[in-house]
Amino acid sequence: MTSKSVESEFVALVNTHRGAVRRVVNTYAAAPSEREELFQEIVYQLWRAFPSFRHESSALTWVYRIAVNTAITAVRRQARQPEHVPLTSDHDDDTPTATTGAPDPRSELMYRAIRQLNDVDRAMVLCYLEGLSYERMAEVFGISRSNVGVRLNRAKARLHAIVRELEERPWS
Amino acid sequence: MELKVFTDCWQQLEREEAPPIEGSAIMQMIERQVSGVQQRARRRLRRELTSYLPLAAIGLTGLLYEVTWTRLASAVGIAGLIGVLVAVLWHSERRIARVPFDRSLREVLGALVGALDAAARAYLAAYVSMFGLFAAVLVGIVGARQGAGFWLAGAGLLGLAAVAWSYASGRGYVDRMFGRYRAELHRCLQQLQAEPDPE
Repeated sequence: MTSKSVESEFVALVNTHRGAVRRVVNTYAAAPSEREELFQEIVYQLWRAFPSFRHESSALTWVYRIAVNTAITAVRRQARQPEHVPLTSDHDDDTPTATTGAPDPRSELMYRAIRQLNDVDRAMVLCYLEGLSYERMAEVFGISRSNVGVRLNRAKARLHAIVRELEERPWS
Repeated sequence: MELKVFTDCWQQLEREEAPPIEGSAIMQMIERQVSGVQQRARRRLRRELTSYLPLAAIGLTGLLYEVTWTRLASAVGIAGLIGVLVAVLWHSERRIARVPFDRSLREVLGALVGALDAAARAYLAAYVSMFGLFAAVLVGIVGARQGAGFWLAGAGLLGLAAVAWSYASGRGYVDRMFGRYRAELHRCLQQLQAEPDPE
């Protein structure tokens, strides 16, 4: 396969799953600059892993696995490489809808609530919302299906409690 | 708000797909990331080299007064040891950056923690060895010039103190460099590995 055809295959893959990647990014990064950086990092990691993509698992599972792994480790790595972040309005938390950039109150509340979960629960809820089966989720996390079921139920219960709290005290 | 609203909201987001990204923009993103990774590695190595400049200067200063085989060997030796230290760091950085991300989260976290531990161990070993070698050379020179006695014992003690200090400061350095990141990754791994109680 020529490098051009590899590139076009990769571009097609990224474009097919760009929405899923954006949703992972919006869940792990609040500020627009962080989101852009994380999106690019995920695309880079996808490109790095692309030669070993065997089409054995579904493309969405593969993309999700890399996106979640990158999001969790990249956010942690930033702690290792402190860089100057300008204190501008650019750093404010605003949660866009996919097309308009205008925050929708429902999706804003949803992202705010999900971001309060710990890293693993957050990723579990993401996979659940994205419609991944327990089997696919077990592949993403490297744990058993029954473990996925128990954890997911707990994560949903936590999320429910957070949402209730946010609705009662929206300023918290 | 029920979680059903979340799934509806998610599906709404799925429908509101952003326009496709052009191929050239995607390839540019990758190039930017590659150069960012290289820049960060270069910056780290430059910082590392800068901190060893005073040590290299000691070797070079001797040569300014008189070029002898011993002084030349010392200067080359010091430069070589600093080179080894920086090479170890460079190799460790590459190893961390090359952990494949297309595995399960558990495997990736485990591999990253392993790579960070290996990097910390390799750096500490190289750092302490460098001081150990300096101490051995110092003791050798004093022994050859003064013979056994007070000065040799003093040089031996000084060498031991330098090795002990290098171990402590090396530990501090690797903790600052890798400790926080490792602890965060380890915490994630524990979250994943903790056996949940069945409800």
